[in-house]
Amino acid sequence: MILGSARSRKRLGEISIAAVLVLVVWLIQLALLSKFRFGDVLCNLPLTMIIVWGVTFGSPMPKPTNDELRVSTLPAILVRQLLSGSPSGAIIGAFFAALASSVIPAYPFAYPIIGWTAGYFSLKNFNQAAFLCIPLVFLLSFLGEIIMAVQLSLVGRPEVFSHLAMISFPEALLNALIAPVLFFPMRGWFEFSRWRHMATE
Amino acid sequence: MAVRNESDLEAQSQSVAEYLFLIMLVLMVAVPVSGMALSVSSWFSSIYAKGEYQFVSTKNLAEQLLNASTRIRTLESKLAQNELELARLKQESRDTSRLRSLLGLKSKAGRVTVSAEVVARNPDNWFEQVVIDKGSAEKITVGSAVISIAGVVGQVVRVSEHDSVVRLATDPEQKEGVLISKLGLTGTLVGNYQNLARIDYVPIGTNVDVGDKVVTLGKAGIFPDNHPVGTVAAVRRDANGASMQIDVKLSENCYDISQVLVLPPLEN
Repeated sequence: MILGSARSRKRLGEISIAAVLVLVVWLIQLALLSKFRFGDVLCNLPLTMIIVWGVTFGSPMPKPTNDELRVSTLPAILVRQLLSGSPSGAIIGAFFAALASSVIPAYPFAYPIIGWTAGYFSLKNFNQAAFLCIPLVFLLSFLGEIIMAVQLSLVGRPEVFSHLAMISFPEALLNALIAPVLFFPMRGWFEFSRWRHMATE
Repeated sequence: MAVRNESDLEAQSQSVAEYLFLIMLVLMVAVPVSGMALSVSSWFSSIYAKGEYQFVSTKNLAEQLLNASTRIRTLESKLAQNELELARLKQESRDTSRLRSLLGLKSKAGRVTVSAEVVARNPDNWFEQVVIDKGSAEKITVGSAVISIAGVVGQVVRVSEHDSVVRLATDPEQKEGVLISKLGLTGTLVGNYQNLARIDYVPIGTNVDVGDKVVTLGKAGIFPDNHPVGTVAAVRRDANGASMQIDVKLSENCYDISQVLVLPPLEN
């Protein structure tokens, strides 16, 4: 019955594609990228995908109009801003975090948080300026590693912040370099699904 | 009558002279022309012969070149195949010698050992871990020591049925008791990611030199005793100056390991 409506089938199809993408990215990271070290640092394809996902799909909340902004109070605007993250980015982040927790002895909370945060910088709001995906991935990777470092430091892992200084910059740089490879196909998919959505309605 | 004869004779001699002149004229023209024709024909025939020779020799040369290039291609492909074969054989020879030494190590260990292969590496930059292809089904338990012929690799931290996660000696959470055999000095070796591992809290004045061998202590029943760990790379005072720190260069390159030996902890 649930699968009966066309909309549910379409949504289920999209979720299946997303699940396949997540698994493929995870396998690439495990089987391929973990063998290549650049200056003793690995690039983090799952984190890059989470950020690119959040940046591409953004928040489902509609943009406030000028009139709405004019009559809103500052706390209301802040709350609205806080809520305008990317839920799908957070879910993808949680998927990757669950997969990562099977091989690293910590649940990386950073992934869902970064997925949500990436929605704040949705490129839908930046007139689809594609080149912005590079600095955004750089900064959000950096932020993701800081959150991870804080989490690991809280659970008592030694030498966390000295290692953070060593890995965060090169990893963020590597992630930023591979970002366009993920961003352009994902934006194509986003445009296609939007077009299909408009065509069916 | 005589006059008539004379005039006939004159006429005859005139015509003979004319004929002779004509013949002479023909000869004078024909001889050089035929000579010229002959020389032209011989020139042409020599040119033709030369051209033919050039053509044939060029054709032969081209055929030789084509044959040579085909041969070179065949030889190049054979060489590439041989190089591949050589690389494969070298790899196999390395694997065989590694496995042979591992076998020697296994018989020398004098306790239960399980040989395993590294199948994956941790996919992030925070944890220094590898996954091996043996697990609880092969009697591997948490805490088992993992060594190679070159030195200490790490310790098993998680076990599934057919695979285990090994925390490498480079991980800062990995600690093991070590001995500087020259001095009989014991200490705790701590990993420091890709940097040199460290022994902290060494008493000031201890006579440790760069290059001294560091081996496992083996008192806890986890690591075998006297197995190589590394060599002393640097000795310095720690931050508060109350003791010394020793940097140790690990013998095993934890980023390039394939075959390892797992030693479950001794029960007593």
